[in-house]
Amino acid sequence: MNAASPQLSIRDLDVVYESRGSAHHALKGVSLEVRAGEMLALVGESGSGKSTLGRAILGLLPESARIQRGSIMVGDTEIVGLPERALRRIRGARVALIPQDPAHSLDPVRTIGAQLVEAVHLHEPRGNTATTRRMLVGLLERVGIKEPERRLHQYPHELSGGMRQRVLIAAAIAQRPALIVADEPTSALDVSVQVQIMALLAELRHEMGTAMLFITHDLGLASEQADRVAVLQHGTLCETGETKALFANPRTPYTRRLLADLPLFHEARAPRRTEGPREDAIVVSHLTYAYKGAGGRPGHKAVRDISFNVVAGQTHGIVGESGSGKTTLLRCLLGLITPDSGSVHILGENPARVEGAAQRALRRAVQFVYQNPHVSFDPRCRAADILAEPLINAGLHDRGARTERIRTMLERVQLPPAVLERRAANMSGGQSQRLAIARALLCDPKILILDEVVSALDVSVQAEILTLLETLQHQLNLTYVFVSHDLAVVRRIADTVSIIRAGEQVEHGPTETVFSTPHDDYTKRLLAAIPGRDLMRPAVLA
Amino acid sequence: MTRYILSRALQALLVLWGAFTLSFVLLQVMPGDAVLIKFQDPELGLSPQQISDIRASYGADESAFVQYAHVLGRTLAGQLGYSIETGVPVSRMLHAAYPTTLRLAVVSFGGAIMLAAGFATAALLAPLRPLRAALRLVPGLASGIPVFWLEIVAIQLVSFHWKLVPVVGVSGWTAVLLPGLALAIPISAPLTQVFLSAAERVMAQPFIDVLRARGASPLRILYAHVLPNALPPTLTISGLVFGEILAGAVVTETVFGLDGLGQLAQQAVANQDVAVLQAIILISVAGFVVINFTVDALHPLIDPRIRRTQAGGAA
Repeated sequence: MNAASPQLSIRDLDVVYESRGSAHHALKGVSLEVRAGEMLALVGESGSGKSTLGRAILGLLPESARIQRGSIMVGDTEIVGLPERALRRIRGARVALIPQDPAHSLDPVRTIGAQLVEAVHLHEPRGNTATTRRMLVGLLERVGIKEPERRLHQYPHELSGGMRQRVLIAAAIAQRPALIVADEPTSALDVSVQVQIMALLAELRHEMGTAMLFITHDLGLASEQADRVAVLQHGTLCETGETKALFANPRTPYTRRLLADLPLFHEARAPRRTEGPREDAIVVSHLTYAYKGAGGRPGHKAVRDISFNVVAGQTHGIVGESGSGKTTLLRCLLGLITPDSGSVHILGENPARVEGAAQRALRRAVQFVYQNPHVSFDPRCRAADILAEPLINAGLHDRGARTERIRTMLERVQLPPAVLERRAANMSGGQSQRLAIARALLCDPKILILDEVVSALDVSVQAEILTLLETLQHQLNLTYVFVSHDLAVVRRIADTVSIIRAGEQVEHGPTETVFSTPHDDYTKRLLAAIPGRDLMRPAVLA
Repeated sequence: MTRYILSRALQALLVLWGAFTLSFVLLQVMPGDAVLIKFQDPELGLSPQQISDIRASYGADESAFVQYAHVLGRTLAGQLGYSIETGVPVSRMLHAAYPTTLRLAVVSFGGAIMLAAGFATAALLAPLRPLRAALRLVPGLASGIPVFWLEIVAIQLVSFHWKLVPVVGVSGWTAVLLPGLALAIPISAPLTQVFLSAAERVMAQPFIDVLRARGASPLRILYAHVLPNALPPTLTISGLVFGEILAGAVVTETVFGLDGLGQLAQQAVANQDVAVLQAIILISVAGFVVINFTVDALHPLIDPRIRRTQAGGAA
């Protein structure tokens, strides 16, 4: 097959989800092609139908979905209407999947070796296990796994996220498929690992001439990696084109808006002058905390010698990858754990020491907003109950006063009053995050601790929430501690920033200084790993 | 690991002692005793003086503490005492009764596992969603069927009407075939329910989709991946279900007229034969403890993630 022939060719695809008589059109008249050796990035927000398209190509649509019309050709085979048995011969052999979440994409109770051997033998039923294992050692080496022999005997939980994704990539390329569907393959990984994985995918694509459909919500990543980009909105392909041309000159308003919402496109926050004397809301000095090992022995030091202060009314960003000690630091700030050495002062109090009325006052003054809006609420509770709870806890028993307070707060976070009757499970990500912010604000806090609050949201919603946070900060003179792995987001919202790596504060200072003249190598690497860095306005980054 | 086993063994002994003490207290609280039941019949023509002499000879007139110390000491020495009703050593009665109950337990438990496996496969892989939903309701209904009713129906239909399995004048494994299978139905119900809900949680995980995307068949995914992942909660329940087998044995052996531990227990209760009852309680509790220990010991073999924490905890 020559390089120009399409490995995947979709024509006028309509997919409908049917449930209890109502029909939802997930894909409407989608047509696209991916040629051998080419990467097409399929970009869209949640609910755009991008995952449905990926599943349709693998013939793995859920039972409630129906392909109404159109065709999906993989090479010269029509997938639509193919019986399950024939589909099974194609899956894994000619079309492979690289999944989104490496943490949950391997069977936890079987060894890496057993799973990889199975992946091969599904298509080579006469395969010899010993021969296959020898082949797998080479394959694991190829995807950048050290000590492959040992890894074959290990279980998934013994491997890091990046390594698990490499294993999944090895399983995907084992049969040298003509087409790989990569569904958000790096969205669950740290940025520095993301860079490595994307580089590996590019290498393999060129080496084997595989066509790749790269499904992503990340326009920045798409702009760096893909040959062509297709933008999907509400099930319709609204724009397709060569990557450079599309980003330089987006034709549709939707693409333009998506690009404009990228945090990359915002100026870094200018250093603000507060009027009057600078008052520190949070002072952390030389904070160290170690988790106790087995039998009370000193264990792994989660954070070491961290110092920063946050001026009242400003935002301090904390950036770190998984395992960097962000969570431990937050637990110290909230007074949930007592530091081994060093000190934390919040509004002049030591959160680990205060007791009684002072402790209750401090707990009201410092509120916490969690990362995932969908799991931080009881899904069966109505929004009205979720908001009433902290008020009742605070001793506000008058129903009328409560309702009044809740209504003002909804206005603050720009939610319509109708939301009050909804259950948390039926809200969109943006709505639940607004609700979470409203709940945190009910007790008139001075400080909000925001833990990855926009990480799970689409860029357009992310932009809205960030704007809301800025407005609220201005109106209520709030102090924020903003934890994120996303440097572009932190750059937009934070006045000062700490970069944390393996429990150590490698860099600390005003955001603009840290981003424009980073001193530490790690910071430099993180900045270089921001996907779509080229899209940034040239003046912003040195 | 040795330390883990030792501490578990100690716990088991503690449980045995607790069960022994509790059963002793409960049996003491009951009004009257076996001696009275046996000898107070006016037709025997014994005078109150003679009866109290007999009671003294059995130690029944001692204070509860002295009796407890005596019985505990005797049991620790391996002596289970004599049946007050028949005067036969309790150990001999147990020896005669246990094979039937053991066979009954094996048949009903084995049957329950096969039933649960077959049923769960059908309920998970049936072609249409409404059919799967309907099959999911069955175990809940099955667990509501009274054992004795099911067994009477089984005797009537399977044995008398269809003449498939004889129930009269049989011994050994043939004797427990029908009762065992009848008892298997209510026992398999909780196993199936727990396995199905665990299996559905596993099947919602991303790795199942990844396996399908590699071309694995539904049956292969179910047996090679869903089963080992959904086994731990099912195993825990199967340990608890053992208690139901013991309770079921009392009813089943009575309905089918089998001479097993259940039958023995039922007679001992009727006669307030304390020594026999306590021996049966001890045996049941020991069986229960051993089964649940085995279940706990199996978990790390199934789930490698537990292996690590346990090694750390035992260190």
